[in-house]
Amino acid sequence: MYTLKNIKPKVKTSIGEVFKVSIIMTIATIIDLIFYHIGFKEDNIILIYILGVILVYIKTNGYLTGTISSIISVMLFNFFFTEPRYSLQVYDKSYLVTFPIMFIVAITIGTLTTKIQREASATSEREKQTQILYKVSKKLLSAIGTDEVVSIGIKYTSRLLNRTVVCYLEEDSKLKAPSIYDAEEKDKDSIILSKDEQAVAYLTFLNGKESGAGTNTFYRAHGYYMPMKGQKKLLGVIGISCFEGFLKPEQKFIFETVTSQIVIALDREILSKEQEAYKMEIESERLRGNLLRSISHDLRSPLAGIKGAVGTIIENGELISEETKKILLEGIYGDTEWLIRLVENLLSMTRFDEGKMKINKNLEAVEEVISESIHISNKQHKENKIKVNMPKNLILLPMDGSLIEQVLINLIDNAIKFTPKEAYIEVKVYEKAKNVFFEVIDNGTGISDEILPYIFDRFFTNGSKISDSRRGVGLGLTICNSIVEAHGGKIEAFNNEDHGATFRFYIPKE
Amino acid sequence: MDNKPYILVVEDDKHIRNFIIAALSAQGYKCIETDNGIEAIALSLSHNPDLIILDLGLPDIDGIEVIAKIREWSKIPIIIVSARENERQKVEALDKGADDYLTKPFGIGELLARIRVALRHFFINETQDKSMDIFKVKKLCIDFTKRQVIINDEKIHLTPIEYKIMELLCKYSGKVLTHNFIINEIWGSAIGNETQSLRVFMAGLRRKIEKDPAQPEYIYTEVGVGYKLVDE
Repeated sequence: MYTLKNIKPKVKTSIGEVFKVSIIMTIATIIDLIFYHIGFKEDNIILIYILGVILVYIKTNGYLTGTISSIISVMLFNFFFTEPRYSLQVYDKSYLVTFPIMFIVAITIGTLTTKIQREASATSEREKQTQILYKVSKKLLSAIGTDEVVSIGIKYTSRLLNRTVVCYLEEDSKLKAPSIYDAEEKDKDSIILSKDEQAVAYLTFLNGKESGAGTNTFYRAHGYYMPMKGQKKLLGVIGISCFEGFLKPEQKFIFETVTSQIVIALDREILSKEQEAYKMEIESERLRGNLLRSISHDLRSPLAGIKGAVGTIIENGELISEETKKILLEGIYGDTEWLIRLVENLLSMTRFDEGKMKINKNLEAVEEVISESIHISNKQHKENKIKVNMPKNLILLPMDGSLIEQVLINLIDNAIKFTPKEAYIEVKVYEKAKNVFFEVIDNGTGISDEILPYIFDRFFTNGSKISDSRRGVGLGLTICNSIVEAHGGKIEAFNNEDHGATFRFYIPKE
Repeated sequence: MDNKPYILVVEDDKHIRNFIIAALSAQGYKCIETDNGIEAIALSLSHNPDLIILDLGLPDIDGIEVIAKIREWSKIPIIIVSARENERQKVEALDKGADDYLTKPFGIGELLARIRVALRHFFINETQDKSMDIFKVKKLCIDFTKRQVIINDEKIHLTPIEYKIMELLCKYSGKVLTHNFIINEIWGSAIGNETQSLRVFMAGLRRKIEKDPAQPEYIYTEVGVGYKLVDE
């Protein structure tokens, strides 16, 4: 299969070369004849022939033509320029020394010339490759993610060696789908991605040894496959098309070099990913620690209140007045309501999965959600009157009803908590462009400017003012933020121009 | 009444069971109790209580199963108790035959109110003529014979479907009716977009009946579950 293809060009070049040799020798002879007629010495004539031979070496493919033209030049010299002219005979016996010397000189210089020429081209070839290798290293340095590393790696490998390159990465002890860079061999792609080829690649992965074209395993495979050995484990398999022939040693060397660069970059990416994961775990632990601390702190007060009140009633049952008892009991009731709210918020935090909150969206009537929220809030805070400001038309909005209720309850609770008893609290709803806006407005004392930027951060409590008495956790607003964002909306807080604060969030109608 | 209603309390948490029984007894109800589902079914069969308070989170079998089993041979009113998050569970229980539900943690006032409602409906359904002539609550009055709805002493006009919905709510006043239930009763079966239509009709009703549709006095929404008309 390979031999037929290679012979044809050889024949072509041979004809071309014979042609070149003839031309060069002819020209040399013509120049020499001119020299002869002008009357130059024979040294110049010999030198011209030697020049011709050198030209043959440079311009043609090799040693064979060079040798032949050396012989031809000696014969031509003999024929045209030695007595008797126009014959291969020589009178002067010293020419019998001249001829071999001329021949040796021609061949030697010619051979050297060819050698230099070839080395020069090899060097320039190597320099080109080194440049590409350098470029590859540089690009791999800045690649982010294993996929980018692979795609850059195989692109440059393919360009360097002018063959299609394919790469399979490892995942869960198996090979993932391959990435391929096609060196414009067109439908060779489908062969190198065929099931058989994939099997060879998989075998390479399992054995950790090279296989495919030119190796002991699957000698006749289309591609040559190498395992990519990382620092700790096998990262995958890289393969190169050998449709044009097996890899020559220098090509194999380049293939291995670039592959090792790719492997280094992959190792680096994997390490970096692991580092990220660790960082997140640490952060997560830190938050969990904070949460537990916050909760414990916040639980102490109401529990102390309940224990105290109940204990008092049990111990001093008959000694305290009914009035006092009633007050104590109502206090306990209030504490439990507070605890219930805390639990609701905490439970909401468990609805996170991989950083995103899971919500069940249903088409709900905004007014229904608002009315239930206020109803629930009112159960706890009977004194506050809440005004509702809504458009006359029915607004239907896809949302997780109970979660949005929780947001509203948290916001209303906050408004009640941070404002004096007779304060004015308003819940306002309106549509604007593609969103529905909800606002909880109060005319209390507002939010201090130092706190405002952090108010939705986790576990942020209005520290100084509240201390142990009317607690925070700071969970309420964070939950609101998470819920609103999970719906694709945004929440913000700001102080009103005249008095008090407004919490505003929107949910997209889509 | 001489015969105090008999209530079966099925609840696995001892403290909660205790306070429920304490509160019910104080109100004059007679109570029997159990902490698991199997015994609950057995006790319903043997003692034939007038009402069952059933916690859905039982240790042995699913509360829903208990409902299904009891409903095979009895129409005893069942009030279920469940955690707040579980709307789906509440809807399922109601659709399977429960009459009402309470969300943990609940106050004793709510419990007593729902017991009253459930008993009254059961009593009406079993002993009286099912059709009623007039329904009155606060300032709302519906005359079924004249097909008239009066609110705040003013007659208001309802569309045929709105009237049908009102009628249904009145029939089960005080009880939460699930979306599915209402849709089935009014339209025959739930296919696709009826939930949206239902919301629209309810909004229309609220605008006609309520002073402030956003803070209703008569028609309450239980988000995710259904609607209820107050009865007192």
